[in-house]
Amino acid sequence: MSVNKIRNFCIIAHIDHGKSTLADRILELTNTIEDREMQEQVLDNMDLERERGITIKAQAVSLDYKGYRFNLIDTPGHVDFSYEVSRSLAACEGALLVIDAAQGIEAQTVANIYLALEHDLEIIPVINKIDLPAADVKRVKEQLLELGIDPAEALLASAKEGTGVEKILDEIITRVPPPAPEEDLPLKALVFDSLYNSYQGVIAYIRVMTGKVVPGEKIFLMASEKEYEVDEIGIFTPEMKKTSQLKAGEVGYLMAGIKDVRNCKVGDTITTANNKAAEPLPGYQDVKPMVFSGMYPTDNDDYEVLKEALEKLQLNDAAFTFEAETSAALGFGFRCGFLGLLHMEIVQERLEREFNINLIMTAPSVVYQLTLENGETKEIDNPAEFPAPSEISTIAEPYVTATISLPEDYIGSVMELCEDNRGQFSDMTYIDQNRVQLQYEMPMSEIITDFFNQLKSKSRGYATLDYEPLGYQESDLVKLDILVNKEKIDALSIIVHRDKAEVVGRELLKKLKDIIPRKLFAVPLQAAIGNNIVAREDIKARKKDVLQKCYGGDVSRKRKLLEQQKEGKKRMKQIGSVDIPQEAFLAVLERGNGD
Amino acid sequence: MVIERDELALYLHIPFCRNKCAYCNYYSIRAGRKKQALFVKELTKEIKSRADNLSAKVTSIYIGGGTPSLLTNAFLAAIMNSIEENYFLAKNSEITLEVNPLDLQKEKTLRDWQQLGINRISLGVQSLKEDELNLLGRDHGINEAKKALAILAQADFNYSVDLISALPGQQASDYLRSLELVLNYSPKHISSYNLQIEPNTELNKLWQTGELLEISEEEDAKAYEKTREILTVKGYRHYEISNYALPGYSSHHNLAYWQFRPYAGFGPAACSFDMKKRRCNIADLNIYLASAEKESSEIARIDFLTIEDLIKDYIFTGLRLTAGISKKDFATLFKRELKDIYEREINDLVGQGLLIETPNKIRLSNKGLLLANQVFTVFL
Repeated sequence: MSVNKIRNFCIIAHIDHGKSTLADRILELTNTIEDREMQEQVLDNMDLERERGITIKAQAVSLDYKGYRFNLIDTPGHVDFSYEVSRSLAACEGALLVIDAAQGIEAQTVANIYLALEHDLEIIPVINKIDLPAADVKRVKEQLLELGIDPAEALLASAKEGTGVEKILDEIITRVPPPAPEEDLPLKALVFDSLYNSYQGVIAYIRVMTGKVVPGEKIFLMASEKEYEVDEIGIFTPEMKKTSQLKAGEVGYLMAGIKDVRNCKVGDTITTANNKAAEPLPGYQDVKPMVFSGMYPTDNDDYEVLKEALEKLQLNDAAFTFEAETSAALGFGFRCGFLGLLHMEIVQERLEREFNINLIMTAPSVVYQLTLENGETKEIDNPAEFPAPSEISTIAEPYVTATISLPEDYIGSVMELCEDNRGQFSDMTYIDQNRVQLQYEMPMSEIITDFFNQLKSKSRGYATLDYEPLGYQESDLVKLDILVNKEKIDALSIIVHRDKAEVVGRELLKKLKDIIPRKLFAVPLQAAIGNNIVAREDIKARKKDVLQKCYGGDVSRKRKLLEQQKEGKKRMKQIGSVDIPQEAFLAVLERGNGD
Repeated sequence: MVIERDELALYLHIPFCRNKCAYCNYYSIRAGRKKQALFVKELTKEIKSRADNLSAKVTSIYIGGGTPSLLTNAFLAAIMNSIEENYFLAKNSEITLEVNPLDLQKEKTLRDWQQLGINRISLGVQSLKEDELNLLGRDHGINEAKKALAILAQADFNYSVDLISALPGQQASDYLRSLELVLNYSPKHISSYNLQIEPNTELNKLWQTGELLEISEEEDAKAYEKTREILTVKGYRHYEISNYALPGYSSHHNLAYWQFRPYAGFGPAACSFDMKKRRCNIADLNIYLASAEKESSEIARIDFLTIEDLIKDYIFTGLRLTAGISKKDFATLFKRELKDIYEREINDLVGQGLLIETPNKIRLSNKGLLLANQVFTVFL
């Protein structure tokens, strides 16, 4: 097919604004998928993606429409994956900007629009869900104008009902430019995602920018500096379909017996081994985890099982890192690195679902930069590894610029929330008449507690959050240790600002008191900075635990209740003679129930 | 004591209430006379149709619910007749009727029940504090409860009183006042339960909103220990975790559950046990009524019990009795020695002071009575 007939585009949208539904309608309309194969949200492969209504991995599909070849690249929809989004955008010439007519444009969408403009993409605004009673097309058009997009170009649609979808496809043909035909140059193909499959190894999702690639050819990955021989190439229909070549402008997959996704990372450039491109494509970054957490099997015997599961997960997720660590309290486990909280939750859920392992996860931590009294510098991602206070000279922590968009009614309470979380106000702009965008500089550690949940509750769900790294700043931080039954539980240690340490300690102990089940003896809980106890609570001894009413013949049900009680105990970690449930390790996340 | 396992206890579930109590998750609904009549007809059919499989001697009948006392005498008579016609009813069988105080406000009522063969009453008093009765969503006040108690005391009837402790915000002393008041009427038997917040109840809804006061484990424990102390002094025997009786007045029917004797339950939600399987009728009156001519499997859930299930059930029901479990009985029933299976568990529990072991028995200690779940779960 001639390059002039190719249209590569992606869909930019906020969660729930209808991206996946629109993609489904496009697949239907182009007969890419037979009705009987149609499953809601075809492009979201994992159960997790469908359940949460979000896309985690990028997906691609080639479809034919009126003699044109469309390559639709579905991008992840969460701030944790903004780098992946940028690589997907780099693979396209155009973008559908889908906006919920009732919700308007969200902060994160704005960030992605700027990203799309940076990549010179042709943007086609689509105002979706116009069937909703609360739809306000006029308002969305005003918002577009504010962003420098001509509202006259916006298309109206209801992906759910299928209205306006055909028009969108026609506009893609006329408005999205075809790729530049640069077949004669050396091969440069952008890896915009990759996944692993135990039979074929790594399957790279690629967009050929210049040159062409054919099976049997020796290729070279410019960032990982590895050489492979191409086994197979093809396109997504959305099933993989072999082709004889992929040339400049085309989107498809490539397999080359690559055994590890880390050798084929998102953003890498594939070139021909014996005719290498002079320069790789711009924009490659080695993505570094931002958030770290300890992962321990509840049952120590599951250590090997967990290790194998983590290895398998990593094959498919180059952004996820792990290394062995030990905790005095929790035994043998792993320190795992994630892009952000969502990424962490996804990994945790997949481990529990797909591998059926009961896990204890410790509270997430950022990476701190320490300067010691002896002049040495250290990066530490685990509070348990902090040196004694007397050995530390300074501590720096990562900051982010948090961009929050919200209806103006909630400005007061949201600003208060940001300030409570050590945010420094930097900017406020009106997106439209009643929607505001706030910018704060905040320590990342505050964002990864339950800031997002509190933001949602303070704004009745209307505020959205986006953030990007801002570098390190020095802070007056201390390590807060938690002692259970006089024993320091290293996995419960957290880093907090000195001014908040006592309050956080007290709140945390109150929560632990409710979470840790009472034993037959009293258990003291203490919070300490160094040797200084700053808070104390006591878990009283268990006085009574008896199913008193037990007559009537349904003894099986009573047995099941008792079995549940026993099962509950198994899911806890026994430390000394106290059972500590998983929630205890995450209790620190939920700071103060509002106030 | 020799336990006769060819005796049979009958339970009848009458699924009607005028009002659903806030704490109750037993199956009951509101229904008029017409529906009640349909039910009684169906119930007598079930009693008759299952009689073929149940040839044993019936030694106790328990008419529970629900609120069976709201049935008319004619309905109760029809039920009693169908049992007498289809079963071998032992002389001196214990025949209990569960009664809401509102239904026992005249002496004649009690005489009528007696005429039908009822020889034991279980009276749902729950509390003698007005605000507590409101919280529990009871449809009677303390005056009606006292009236019913007076009628039973006056007749020197064999009757039991149900009381509930550990209410939200309740002090042990609040509960003990109700207990002392009840004792003025000299019941033969007292069942004293702590409140359980069950799913799908009004109380649970309130509990979830966080509007209820705390239930104090300390006060609960105090009330339990004091109850035992007060009743023991008055001559009651503490024979099961929650049950006390004057000598000779233990509930023969309820003992069937704890002594691992067979029982047959009729009516929706009623359960049966034949030493091999447990059968529970589906808790839905419409299904029950519609299945007149159908196989029993359509109205019941049947659990076939493995030997392991049976052993677990035997232990946690048997340990509820203060007399405990006889090692010999266990060996006779299961053809295995108790200690061969649970030696380590028993030693641990004895070490923790929760269990007492004698050459012939194991039983809960006083501390173990308060922490019985901690003991039971060890055996599961």
